[in-house]
Amino acid sequence: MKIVDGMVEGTRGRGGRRISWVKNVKDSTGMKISECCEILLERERCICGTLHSVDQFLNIKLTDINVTDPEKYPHMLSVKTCFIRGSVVRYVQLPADECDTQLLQDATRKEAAQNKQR
Amino acid sequence: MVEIVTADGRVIVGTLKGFDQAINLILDESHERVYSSGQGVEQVILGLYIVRGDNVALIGEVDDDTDNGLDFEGIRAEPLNPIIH
Repeated sequence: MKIVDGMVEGTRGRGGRRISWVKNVKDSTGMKISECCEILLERERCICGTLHSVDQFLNIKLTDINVTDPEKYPHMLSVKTCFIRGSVVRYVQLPADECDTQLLQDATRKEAAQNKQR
Repeated sequence: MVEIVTADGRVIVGTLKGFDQAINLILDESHERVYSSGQGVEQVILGLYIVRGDNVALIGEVDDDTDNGLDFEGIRAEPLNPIIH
């Protein structure tokens, strides 16, 4: 199943390459997209897994997932790869030690400056 | 085989025959797994189902080997709560 990658707001420069949302996350967090993330659904159920891709609706694909507290929630014991509809996600938690906030801030400033120029 | 968790907390398992950009799904040979704390998992045959995308919360790819090895009679769990917006 191929989910279309999301786009970054605004237009790209002439001859510039398409930048996907995932690439943006990669650049700003400085971590590989295959690093772990945690997703808490609105029903307060936590799914940990490796982030595979995100699209423009923030639909998320996770591989190698684990449900926290499988005793209480055995509903997904046989599921290893899943697609989560963006509308039901409460938040995505990236592991703190994988997040370079300095890099993130710089990337945000750079993007803001670029948007200002246009 | 895929497992769908719907917005109202139901779990439906079936063969994914098709989907579109709104995540409307076509499931063939589907059945619902009804979880309850009082008894084991009850499987209700549904057949061919079209699920509107709005109602879909999660789609999981089911590993057949793991799934066949599960003891559904012995699984006791509260049903999932519906999505709160």
